[in-house]
Amino acid sequence: MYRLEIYEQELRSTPKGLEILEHLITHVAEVSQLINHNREVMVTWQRNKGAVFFADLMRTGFDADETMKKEIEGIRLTSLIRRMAVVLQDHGSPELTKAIDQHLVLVLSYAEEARSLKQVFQKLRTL
Amino acid sequence: MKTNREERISEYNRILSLRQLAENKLQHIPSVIKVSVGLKVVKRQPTEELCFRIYVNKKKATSEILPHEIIPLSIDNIKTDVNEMPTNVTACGPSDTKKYRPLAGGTKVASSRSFAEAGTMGCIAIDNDSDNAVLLSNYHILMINGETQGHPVAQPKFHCDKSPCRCGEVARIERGFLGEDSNVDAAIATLTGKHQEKWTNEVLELGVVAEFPLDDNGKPVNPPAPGDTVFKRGMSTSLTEGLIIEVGRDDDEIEVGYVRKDGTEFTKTFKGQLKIGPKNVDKPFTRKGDSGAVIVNDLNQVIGLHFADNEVRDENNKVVSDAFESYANPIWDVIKALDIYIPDTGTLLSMPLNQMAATAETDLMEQLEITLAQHPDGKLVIDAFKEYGDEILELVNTDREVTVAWHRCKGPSFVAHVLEKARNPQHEIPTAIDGISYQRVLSKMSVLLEKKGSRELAAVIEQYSTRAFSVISEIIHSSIVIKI
Repeated sequence: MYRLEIYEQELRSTPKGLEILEHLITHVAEVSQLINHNREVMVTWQRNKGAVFFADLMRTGFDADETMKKEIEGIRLTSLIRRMAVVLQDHGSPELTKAIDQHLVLVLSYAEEARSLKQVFQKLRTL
Repeated sequence: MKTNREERISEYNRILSLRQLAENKLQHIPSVIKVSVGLKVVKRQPTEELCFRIYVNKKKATSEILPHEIIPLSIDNIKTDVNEMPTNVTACGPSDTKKYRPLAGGTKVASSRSFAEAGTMGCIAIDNDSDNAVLLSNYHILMINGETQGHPVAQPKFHCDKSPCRCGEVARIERGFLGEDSNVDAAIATLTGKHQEKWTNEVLELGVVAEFPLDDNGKPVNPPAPGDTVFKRGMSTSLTEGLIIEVGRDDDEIEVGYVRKDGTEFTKTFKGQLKIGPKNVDKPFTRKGDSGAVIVNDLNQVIGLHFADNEVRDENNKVVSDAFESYANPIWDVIKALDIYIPDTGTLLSMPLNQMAATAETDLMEQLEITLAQHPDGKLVIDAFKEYGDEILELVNTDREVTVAWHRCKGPSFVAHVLEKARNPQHEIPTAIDGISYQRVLSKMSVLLEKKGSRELAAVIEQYSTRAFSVISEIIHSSIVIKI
């Protein structure tokens, strides 16, 4: 089990974070359903090491010294995000599609620039 | 449960092989007229489930039927769907009445006599007899009122009724067929004047279309199947999405009612037609006026020519009940009857005509380059495009999957808006066009180009796409002002 409460608390502390959190809460069930039951989404998630990236991200927590992995077995984190965005928009609801549209560029740039989750949250505070 | 197309077709063929068995089991029920295989429709909405579609003349409550004549809910563990034989199927005769030049499919056309029964131009085809470009529509749109070869056809209409005024003329009727041996409701008209020289085979909102792959005998290589997603653009309901409910067999007949301008009515029988339902039950797949529209699959390959539906209207021509079943002639029957082929043409900058914002001009491109170079990551985008631009253009122009995605994501319209912003800095680039966001274009095209392009192109996309997305996002949100 990961301690998700700390991330939730942090997201709630900034307007942009709150916006992202609300979208996460709204769409987490749909995304999870698609990853587990839609063949194309499942394959994209697995081929692009989604589960490994996710586990790594949770592992790093808020420790500024713990850098998150940007590449696993030749797959970039940004490629995972980009490819998942496409299949989730292809197979998800219009609401999920809209939420992805809203945050994709920002999430990609954070995934590329930030070294740790802590840095991501710091950046969110500046928005 | 969602299945992929192969699984669905395999299940379809399995159920099809059991159809005779089902017919035998239902033989003792007098009300049963025929059994076919297709999607189960619940409350007028096609589901993803394949079933036996059982046709009766009139549906009755279970209490009114003798117990041994009740149709079982399933046969051999395959669900049944009881349907009434279509009785209100009428040829669809009129909302987008705009003029489009160059000509494009999905727009209004009318013959010189068919002011009331105007319909839709499907797409451009090539007449094998003459090698001329022709427009494809229905017989009942172009020829039902006695029009013969040489009669003028207009898009959208003839502007005045004063003979010999022919303003609006774009083509002249070549030939057409209605039912009987041809089994189609289709007609072609040869493009006239400048229209013969300047055309792209594009359907509004859909982009470039192409012929469905056919074998040497003119039969489909990989036939459409129930559950396949299809699209059409017609003058009445514009772009709609549907699902194939049934692919009719040669002995599946439907009777279609026609009305001439003088009020005379008659019917024609068609066999083996494509039956399509709306994907969204709130919006019918077709309405009056959409007749003549081509039906395309998810690769924009033309699979059918729409000609009828079961919409019901009252005596004042008000819609009483929207169509939940639309009918299309299989395109291979149309191609054979009319002796035509559908050309596969279109270029990167063949912009959707209703959204054409600017044309690509060299100086605008140069200016765009200068502006991009001012952004820290702009040079990366320019260098990548200089290095791989030709490959990207080649893929967009020649790879069907990339071409279709580019057009469906409104790529040409977004490019046109960016160029328009270079021309006019006040111009606001929309963040979405027809519900497609620029983020979607970027992510979709990047993934597709990675998949279809060279290893080098894929590596560049992987490395620089995030920064390219940021630059484009800033242009769209106006942080970067393009100045001439």
